[in-house]
Amino acid sequence: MPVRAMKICASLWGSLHQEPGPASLHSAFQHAANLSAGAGMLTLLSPGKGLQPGSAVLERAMDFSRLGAYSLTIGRDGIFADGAKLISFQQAQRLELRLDEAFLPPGSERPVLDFLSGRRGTGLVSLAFQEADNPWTEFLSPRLLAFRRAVWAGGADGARQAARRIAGCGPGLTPSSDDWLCGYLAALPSAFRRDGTAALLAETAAEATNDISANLLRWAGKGYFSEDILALKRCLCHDSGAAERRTAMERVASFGSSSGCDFLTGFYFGLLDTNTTGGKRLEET
Amino acid sequence: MSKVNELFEQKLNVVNFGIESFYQDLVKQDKPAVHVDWKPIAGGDKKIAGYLRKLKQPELYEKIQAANQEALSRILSAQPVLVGMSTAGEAIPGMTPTTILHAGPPVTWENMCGPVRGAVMGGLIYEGLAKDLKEAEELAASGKITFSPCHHHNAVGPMAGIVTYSMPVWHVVNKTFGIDAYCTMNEGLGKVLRFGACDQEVFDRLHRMREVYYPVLKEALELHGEIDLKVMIAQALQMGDEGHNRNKAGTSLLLREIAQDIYNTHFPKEQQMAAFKFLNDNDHVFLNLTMPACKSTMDAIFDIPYSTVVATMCRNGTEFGIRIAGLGKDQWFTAPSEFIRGLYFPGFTEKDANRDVGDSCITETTGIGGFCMAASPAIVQFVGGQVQDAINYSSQMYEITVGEGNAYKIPVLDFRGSATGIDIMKVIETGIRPIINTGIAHKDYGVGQIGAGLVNPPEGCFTKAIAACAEAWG
Amino acid sequence: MKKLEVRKNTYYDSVTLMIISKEVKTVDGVNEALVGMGTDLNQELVKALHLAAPGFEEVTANDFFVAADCDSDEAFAAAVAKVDELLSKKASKGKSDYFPPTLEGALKVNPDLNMAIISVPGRHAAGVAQSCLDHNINVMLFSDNVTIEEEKELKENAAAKELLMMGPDCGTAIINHVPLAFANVVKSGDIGMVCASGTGAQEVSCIIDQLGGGISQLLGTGGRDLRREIGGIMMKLCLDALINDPKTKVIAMVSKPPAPEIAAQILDQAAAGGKPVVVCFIGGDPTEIEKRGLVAACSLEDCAHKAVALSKGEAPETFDTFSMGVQQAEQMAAAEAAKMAPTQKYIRGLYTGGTLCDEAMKLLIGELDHIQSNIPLNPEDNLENARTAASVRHTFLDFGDDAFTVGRPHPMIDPSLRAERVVQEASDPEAAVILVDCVIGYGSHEDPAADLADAIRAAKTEASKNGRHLAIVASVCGTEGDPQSRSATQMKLADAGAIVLPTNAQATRFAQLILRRL
Repeated sequence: MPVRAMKICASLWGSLHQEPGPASLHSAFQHAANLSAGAGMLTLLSPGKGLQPGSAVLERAMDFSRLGAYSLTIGRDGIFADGAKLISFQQAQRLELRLDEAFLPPGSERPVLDFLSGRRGTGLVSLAFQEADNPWTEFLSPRLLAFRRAVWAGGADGARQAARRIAGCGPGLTPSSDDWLCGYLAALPSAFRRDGTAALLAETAAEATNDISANLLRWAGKGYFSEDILALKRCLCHDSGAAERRTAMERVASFGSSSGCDFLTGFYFGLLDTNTTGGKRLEET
Repeated sequence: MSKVNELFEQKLNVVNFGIESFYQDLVKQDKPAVHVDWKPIAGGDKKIAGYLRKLKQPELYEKIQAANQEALSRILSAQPVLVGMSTAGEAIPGMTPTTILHAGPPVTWENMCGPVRGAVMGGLIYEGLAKDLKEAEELAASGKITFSPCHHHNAVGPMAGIVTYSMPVWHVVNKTFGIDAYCTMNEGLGKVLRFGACDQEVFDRLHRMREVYYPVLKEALELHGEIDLKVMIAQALQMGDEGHNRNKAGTSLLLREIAQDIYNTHFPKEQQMAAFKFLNDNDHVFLNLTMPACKSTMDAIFDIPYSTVVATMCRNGTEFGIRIAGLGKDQWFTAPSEFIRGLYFPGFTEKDANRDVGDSCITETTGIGGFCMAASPAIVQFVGGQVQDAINYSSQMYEITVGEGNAYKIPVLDFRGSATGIDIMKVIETGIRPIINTGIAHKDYGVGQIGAGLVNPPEGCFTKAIAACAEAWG
Repeated sequence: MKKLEVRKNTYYDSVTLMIISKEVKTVDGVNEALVGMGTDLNQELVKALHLAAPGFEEVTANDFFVAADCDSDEAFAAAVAKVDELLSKKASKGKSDYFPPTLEGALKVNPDLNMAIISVPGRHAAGVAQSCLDHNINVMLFSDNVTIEEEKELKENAAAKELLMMGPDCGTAIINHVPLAFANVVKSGDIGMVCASGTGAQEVSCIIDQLGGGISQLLGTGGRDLRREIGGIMMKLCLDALINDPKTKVIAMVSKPPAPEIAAQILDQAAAGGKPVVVCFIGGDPTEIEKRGLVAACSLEDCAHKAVALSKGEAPETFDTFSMGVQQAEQMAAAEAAKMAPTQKYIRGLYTGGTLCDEAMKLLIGELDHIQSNIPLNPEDNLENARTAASVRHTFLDFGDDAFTVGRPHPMIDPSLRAERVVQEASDPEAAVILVDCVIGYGSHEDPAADLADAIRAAKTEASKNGRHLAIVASVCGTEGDPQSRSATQMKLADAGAIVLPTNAQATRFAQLILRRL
């Protein structure tokens, strides 16, 4: 019996062909695996994980490291190992993971900052409190400020250069700065996505980091984010209760070791720059 | 510079007693913290805490600790070996044609529970001492039959634990100390004597065991020579058995060991095949070897003065009884045994259950069974839990034992030796009672097993025992 | 020497990588190390840290690397071995879920335990605390109902081993920036605090945080430490530690007025320490303090202001006014008073924090003469059976006192009893002002303002139905960094109709302004 995928990213599914094409195991972890295929990278996640762009969440856990032993093919029906169906997409719920363009009201950065205050010491979080407590934060602090200035100064070249100068920095499988950048992109107003700036920044950074991180950055550039992140945005837009907001942030923060917190830190700066300062008075923040 | 200034330079590692939210707050901040599931000693019972204090007086406590180390080292150095088979009457000391051995601490016919009574009556009919249940009941009540605990006769028996004169028994020897232990052959599941069933089907099987299978197996073992049970149990633990409720791996190992010898006996092929099939069809064959292996191991600690280690745990279906190494074989500490928390087979409920019964918790006494539950994820669902529960149970047992096993190890705990040598002082101090996983018998005789689950010895056994220790040595 | 290990096209779980980066540096002989994916920027960082060994240029973004500066090949081998050990270590899921039953069991889980928080019932507390001290573990004892003899013995044993024995009845401490039990997320800084009271410590540390200052350590002693029977054993030990702590520039000491001879000893010790010390003996006489060249504070808020001034190298000035300005406060108070009915004459203080209650009474007693209370300033003002008795004239209740906590959690954990009392007071035609605190932070209820805000609404409605105007004056003890957030909490109370002042002292003075006009 093939393992059923419960949920699958709709865009990913749309990009697959009916006729299965070849794929290979890129990397396997305890709760996730990445496959390289013609359409790009496809991520398989254990049950309980939130759906990410370009991923499918399985109905039950499986030993992903086994996948390397097979000749794999992928199509709209699922994943086949040596021709036999291993994972089925047929009954999977197809979710569109595109960020809606609702406006995040001024002040929405406040609860994010409050939440982060409990996570100081994790990844890049201390940057939100103007503290630099490890080599990475020290190194990144001036570069991130330069990036934020460049984004708001207009002119794609400056921002691209600045993006390249922050990409791929930090420990972790997805280096902290990449998570930060994804978060920052999620908070930018829709105009940045419409005119292609976000995609350009993401692509520039993606070229300077590892495959897995690059994959997430490219999706972020196109406006695609994980279920948990979309839920957080909805919460902030609709002024849900404090408890609900907290839960949403907890879910985002629980991703990876520091990835979630790094994302939230970037998201916080993105909101701050978009709403509080309008990008005009970055020096003071 | 004081120590306090040194503390300022260290990473804070917090232990929390009491309000759990203080611990949760630290966890939320990713700070290293341990929450202690603190309970007042002996549930706040001042009298019991007083006994414990008495035993913890430095001079005495030193003697106790030394004695317990000695007990542990004897348990660990045991070498239980299967040497052969005989009949109860030939082998078991003190056995007479009118003696019936039963599980648990001593109990009178009047006080026996349903399944044990059923098994006693079945045993009498099997031995030809009575021709039907009515006659058996009269005979049992007449005073002409000697009832005695298996444990008083170098024997152990699962569930009702009935041993009668002509039954075949496995013979195990702890070679380090030269201690014998005996146990009947396991009848299998379904309608069986040990659950109190006593109809023709049961008698037919018992007769076949004695007439057909026993001679073959006895000769096969003679051909094979002795079998090291400690090694075999250790292997079974690594193959998903826990040594009490799951015996699939152990049984397979045994069968592999003696299969060739069975076919080398002088008996006709059909009889060899029947004997082979009897073992092969019953997953629980090995339980009746594990139990005497444990029994011969634990009997070695009886003459250690000041040891507070539990040497025996067993139940007769009415009462749970324990014996303490330092207090000798003659002192039982008993309390009504508890009902088992677990899963029932379809059609049965808690209302049908008998109290906890059988000598099989000699396995837990030795550090396997419930103490090794983490080794047996397969059993966890059977007793109605999750794998993490099993790991927690096994981990918790380290809190009440003197040490850890050297042969019986738990793969999922990084091959940590199982918790071994239950110390009643630690049981009283922590309020943690040993965990036993076991089968559930129907309260009426003749029905059989109706489920399985988890149970603890009643607290009363331990409080009575610690009082006796304090009185004897305090 | 610089060493490098590269694994081509290798990916490890983020969780493991994060832990490894921290742990590798602790290997003996390793001076600096960086572990990660070989992205350009990580490579650049390696170069910036002077860790680049030959061959480093060939590392690509999809390679995993360990770069280290170490003393020997052996040290690097040990570092790589550590990396492999951590990589192969599977996430020990559920390990934290295991709660051992004894201290010995806890030490098996974590042999590095160095601080215990104890909140078991009082009659068992001393035994548990002593067993921790026996294992050289510092103690924070929140339990009350510990006898003074037990306290003395514990503290003498602790002092002999130079261990902290904070408490009994010590609910607040921040050690090495870790808030313990009831404490707030305050910025780190150079002000060291030692306090004989829990909410007093919280109030001072939170105001320090608001003023832009920070805390190095916040130590507690328990309420009885400065009594003659104990002789300030812990206060002396803590003071000594703060004097010797290089990260502490300024010391703030908070307590109820101690026994005079103990006060003399403590103040002498403080004066000899050579660091600026602000002393807040709540409601005490400043003479002895100032005589020794130490700085006396007249309220918790003043203590925080003076400590922050000293920390910034400024001269400490007494703060006994309003952040909003006196004029504004006067106007607001007048407006409140003007709306009140002629029957409304008295103040009712309903507190979850004992020291805050005490401070408020001490700030008011000069003008009010008598304040009924379950923790009265004068024995003749004792309010018997406070839990059931109706308030009379000016009444202050400490809901954390035994009278209210028997069989219940502390009101900071379960504030419902206090909320009920707010509504109850509203039906008294003589009640004019209700003064409340709201303590947030770790340990406290996850949203104490919610219940209180409902009660405030109900109380205001009840009063206005009967033609009265009830003034409800509140202050929030907490910081922005707290899980509940100070501003969010203030907002909830203000939305419900409370007048929210920045501190307990200001709230009390504001209430006083209203009372003067009645």
